[in-house]
Amino acid sequence: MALFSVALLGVSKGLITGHIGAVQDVQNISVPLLAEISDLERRGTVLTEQVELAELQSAIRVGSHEERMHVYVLPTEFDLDRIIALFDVMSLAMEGKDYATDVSPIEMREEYKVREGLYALPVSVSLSVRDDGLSELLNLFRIAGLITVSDALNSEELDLLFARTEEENPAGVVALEKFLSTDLLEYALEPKPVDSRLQRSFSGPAFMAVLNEILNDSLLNDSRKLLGGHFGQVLKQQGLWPMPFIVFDDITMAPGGTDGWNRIDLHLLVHRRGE
Amino acid sequence: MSNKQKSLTQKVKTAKVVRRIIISTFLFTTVFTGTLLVSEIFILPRLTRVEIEGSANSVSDVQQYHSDLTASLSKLEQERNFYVLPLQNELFSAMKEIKYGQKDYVIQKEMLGKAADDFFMEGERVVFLYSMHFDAQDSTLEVRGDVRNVGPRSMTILAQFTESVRSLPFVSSVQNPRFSREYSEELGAYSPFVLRIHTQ
Repeated sequence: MALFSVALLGVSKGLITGHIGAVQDVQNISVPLLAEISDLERRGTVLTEQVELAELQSAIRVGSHEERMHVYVLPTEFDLDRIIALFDVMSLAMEGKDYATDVSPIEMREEYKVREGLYALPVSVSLSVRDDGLSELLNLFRIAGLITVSDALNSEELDLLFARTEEENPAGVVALEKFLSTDLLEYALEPKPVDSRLQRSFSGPAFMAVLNEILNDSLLNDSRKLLGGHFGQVLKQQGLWPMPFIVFDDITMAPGGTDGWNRIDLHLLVHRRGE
Repeated sequence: MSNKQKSLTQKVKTAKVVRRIIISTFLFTTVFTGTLLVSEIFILPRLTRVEIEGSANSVSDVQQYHSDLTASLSKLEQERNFYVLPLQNELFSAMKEIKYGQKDYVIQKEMLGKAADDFFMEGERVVFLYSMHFDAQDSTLEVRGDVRNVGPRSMTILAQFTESVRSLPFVSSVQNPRFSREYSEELGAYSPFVLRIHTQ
């Protein structure tokens, strides 16, 4: 009987521990999750509404950016005429503003395979650039290959815009879609109508604050500065937009002979896709 | 009473007490364990269930519901982005990521120039930068220059400049340069350097 009592006490201890654990689980797991679940359910409703609206909007979308990407940005063959013309326009524009001088001949090496379905053509050029023209020169290659406004925004910036849309006006996703799919050059040449169309859909200060921050700090701002003037018009007139996809390989900057000038050696990689 | 008799009486008393305690302890543990078992099976599950959309759920049900909801939200998010973002192409997206990963080299150049300009001794510049080589593929930067106009203290100033570069916001790490003092007729004592910087 004594042994049986001891065994029952052991079982009781286990049951008490189980009770405490169950209560703690409710307190530590269920209650916090429950608080999150109501927010997630609310977000689910908003997202479902946005998906329906965006689907309708995409059905009436005109023109394919994918086709332009395949023909101009990442073609299956390097279009040397367009590449040279782009460098030509760039150096003339820089020299015209007295931003650059002593532009070297453009050198191209053998193309090579970066990975399956992607090839790179190394292109080098040297030039003397004034301090205030340096950003413009490098921004040209940071923008080369981008097509729409959405391409000039990185994933964090896009996520921020989507989050604010969800919070402030879920139906504003239609205006956001129009904004993001605007051609980057068209936007840079005339940003005000595009910006104000988006701003009309959102009256709250939180969205406006995020939008203004993005407009000022992202590559979109650099795009507006670079493409918004004569250079953008020339690219449009000469059919050089959208530009081929170019990234930096390496850059050497050294002080130029005169104060405020730099000697820049640019090594770039122009890309194409595989057949 | 002899000692033997005393010990025998004591043992009989103890046995009586134990026999009485055992019965009550047995009764107590049986009722206690039974109550806990009833609670475990019938009461606890009712008290620890939480209600979601009108139905009671256990902790594991809540966890499962939460993870299902998160997964469905992520799917909805992808679906919305698919319709809203104008161009969905795997290669183009991967290439854009490379572009976004490339830094603003003008800002890096300006920060390094400012760090060098901060070193002034008796109205004269001390740190001179000859060139900056940005390797966009490796996110590295090689800075060449020298420290001069400070006499035999050029190596100390170079160490201070290295620390100053290390604290710049875009710098991830700096490989210490080779510290040497050289002499030339034109510059006097000077310390040439090559700083290899890993950027963030």
